[in-house]
Amino acid sequence: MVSEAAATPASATACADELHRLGSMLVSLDAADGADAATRRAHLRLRHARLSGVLGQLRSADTAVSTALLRYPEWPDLIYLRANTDIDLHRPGVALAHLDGAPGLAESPAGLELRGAALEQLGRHSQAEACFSRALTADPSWQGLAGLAQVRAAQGGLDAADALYAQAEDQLTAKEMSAFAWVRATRGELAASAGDHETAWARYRSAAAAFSGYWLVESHIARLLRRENRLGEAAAAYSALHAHTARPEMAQALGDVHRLRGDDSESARWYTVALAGYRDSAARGEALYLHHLAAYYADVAGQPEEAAQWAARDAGARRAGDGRWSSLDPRPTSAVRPGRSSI
Amino acid sequence: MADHNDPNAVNSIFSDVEVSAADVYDMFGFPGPDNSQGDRVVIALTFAAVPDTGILDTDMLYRLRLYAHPRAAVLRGERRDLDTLRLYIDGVRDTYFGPESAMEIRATIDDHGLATVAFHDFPGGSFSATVPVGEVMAIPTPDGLAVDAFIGGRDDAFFNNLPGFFRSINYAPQFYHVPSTRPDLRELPIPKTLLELEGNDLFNYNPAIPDLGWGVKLDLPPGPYTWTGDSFKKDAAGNYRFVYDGRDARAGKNANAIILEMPLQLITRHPTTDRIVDIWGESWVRKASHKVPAIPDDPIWQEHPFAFLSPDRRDKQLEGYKLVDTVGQPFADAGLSERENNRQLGANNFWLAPHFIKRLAHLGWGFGPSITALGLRCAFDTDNAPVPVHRLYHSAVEAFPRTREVIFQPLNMPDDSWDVHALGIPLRRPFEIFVPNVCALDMDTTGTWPFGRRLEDQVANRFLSLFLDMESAAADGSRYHVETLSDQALWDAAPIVPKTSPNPLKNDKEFLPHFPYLAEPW
Repeated sequence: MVSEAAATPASATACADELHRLGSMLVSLDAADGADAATRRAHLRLRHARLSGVLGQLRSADTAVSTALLRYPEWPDLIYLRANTDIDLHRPGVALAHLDGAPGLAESPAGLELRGAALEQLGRHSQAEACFSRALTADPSWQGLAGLAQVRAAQGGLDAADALYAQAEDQLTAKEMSAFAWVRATRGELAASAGDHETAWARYRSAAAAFSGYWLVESHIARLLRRENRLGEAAAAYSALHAHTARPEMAQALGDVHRLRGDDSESARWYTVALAGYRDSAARGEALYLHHLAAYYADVAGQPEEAAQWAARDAGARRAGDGRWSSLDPRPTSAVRPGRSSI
Repeated sequence: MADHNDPNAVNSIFSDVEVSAADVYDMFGFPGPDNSQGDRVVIALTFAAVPDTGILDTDMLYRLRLYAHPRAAVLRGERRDLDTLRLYIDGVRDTYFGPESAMEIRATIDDHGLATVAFHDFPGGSFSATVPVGEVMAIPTPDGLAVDAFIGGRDDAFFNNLPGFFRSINYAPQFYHVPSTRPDLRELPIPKTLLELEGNDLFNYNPAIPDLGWGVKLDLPPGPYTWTGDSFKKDAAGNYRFVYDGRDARAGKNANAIILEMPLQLITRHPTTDRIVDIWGESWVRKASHKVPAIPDDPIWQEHPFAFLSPDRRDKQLEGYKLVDTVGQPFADAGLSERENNRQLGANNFWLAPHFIKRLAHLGWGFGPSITALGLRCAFDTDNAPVPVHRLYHSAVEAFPRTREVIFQPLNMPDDSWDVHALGIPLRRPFEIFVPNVCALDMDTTGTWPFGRRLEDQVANRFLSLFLDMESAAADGSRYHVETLSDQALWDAAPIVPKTSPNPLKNDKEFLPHFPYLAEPW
């Protein structure tokens, strides 16, 4: 069976080429059986989903991991993938529960990095930092450095974060250009946050040159265009991103841009699309867009009480061990940043 | 296995690691056959044929390093203790051996299939040339000499029973899909052994799956991953079963290679006294930041002010690359350093010496009882253990008494032909061979291992022979030597099946009598 991912055609961008390669690898595994093959298939689906940015593919990857785990519940690499997708889908509490259930994995550098990422999503920064530091002691990987950088950034240490990201970049080779583009674009975002647009543009340009056609870099660029009030270009960029990924946050960003341009009807149209996407996700029981719903009701709809309810649900879902809305604890959460899980 | 699949970052035995051009295989070094115009040095570095045989990866930089020096004197009557070992290591580190001042040759490939070969810090100066991949070329030197060069695809010159070695150390990834998140499940805690252990079902030959480990892999079954037996496995006739079967796992496989032949006088101004040429190789892969068309906005010196304290960092070209793999001695990395990424130190492996002692002791507890079970004399002190023992050491001091003779015994050669000029060159001892991790070519020998490494050397058998007692004499006065395990008569007489040398005795293709020596690719 030719998979959805394998159907990606090769094209002129590095990202499209890589997606095509991943799809071909997936096809080559069609006949393979066993835990390792199931793991590789699920891993390829996850890599494909992260690179494409297509929301439906991320859900498919999540399902593929779950299905494989049902058949091979003890296979450590699948538990690792499970925790990865949990973090991608903003279920840090579930990720921690899975890691706790796999002691050999939990203490490995890869497991510690995942634990750190989950703790960071929960806003438990000092614990997250300790995990990344331990992982780096055992294996000074770019992932560990980037994870630690993310914690530092969340704590407001932008310079320290940038220095760590720079170290992560230095670890990456020409065989890891998508990862390089992610790190470089993240550094661009740090610069943009600090108001240094010149540096931000330079970093985005090199990220795009390193790995062309990557939606994550394009989304950073669209955000900077909006910041610089280049609204026509921003609208075009977000429109393309939404068409490609079907992510509701792109629709909301497009609504924001149209609102800034004074086009209320177009703005309302895109807000409706965004809200429908968020609510669809919530109706599926996903935690992924709960914080977006909170922000939507606070910033767009002007309904603070509704926003507070969604924020509470978001906090509860993150902390819950089952990833569902098991708590209405209104504990505030830190803003969610694109993490290593977005690579 | 000399250095194939080492380090783990390029270990394609794992299903999630693709074969990499950074996986350097072997470092060969031997005197050129024609010394009518003076001694000539042949060096050959082989590595994975990626992206394809004869097509080299444009993101790679291969680095060959050379250092010529006189042959060191051997102290007579030296004590075989840790102090002596420490003195040796201090000596080679601080006195005659100076890798930081070594000459080097770098090879990179462009998009048009042209290789740039740069010779740095040679006595006559630095120079470079561009050569087409796949062709034998003569590179002129500033001194009016010439270097023969070939860069391209060849038959892999390594011939080895790789699955046999992995069976001997219970290395699961050769036979099973091992979760990549469980590095503790790679070398399983079952005693190392040369003979199959009764009940070691994970690794004993299974006639129902004859190709297990030869391309066929199963998912790693649930544990336990230990051995609780108390005997070697024997067949109805009382024969042990060898973990090796003598087949060549690299038969029909290619490598890419950098092969050079150069006058010794190009390497040293004192060719009559500098008779030892240390050779080692490295693979470097381009950093992502140096592949981006736009110049990075953060110069490395801004972000890493301490970087320039490292000599390598001073080198502008190398700043754009990342060291991945090193190779000097066969088995130094793959056998003794367990493929760890952070042990890719090349010549500067001095700090690994304590680890080598512990690792040799660990291997000795496995291989030693196998050797004695076959009626052979063993250099490792097993306290007459009847079967292999899985024992790990945390201290070199604790491990050393067991492995003292393995480390210090001179390795006998089968005859005197290696000492070409009958100079009475001292036999080499294992500690001299593996520290530093270089191919130390003695130009007054044939260059056969351990006095260099010739293409036809069966180095895997010679490595195993380290555990034989080479100092005690048999009743007929004979002593074991580095080729003992390659003697078919030994296996014919031993109570073992299959009756074969552990590893194949010949390469799958005949080597060439002339440059570039390695056989044509398949």
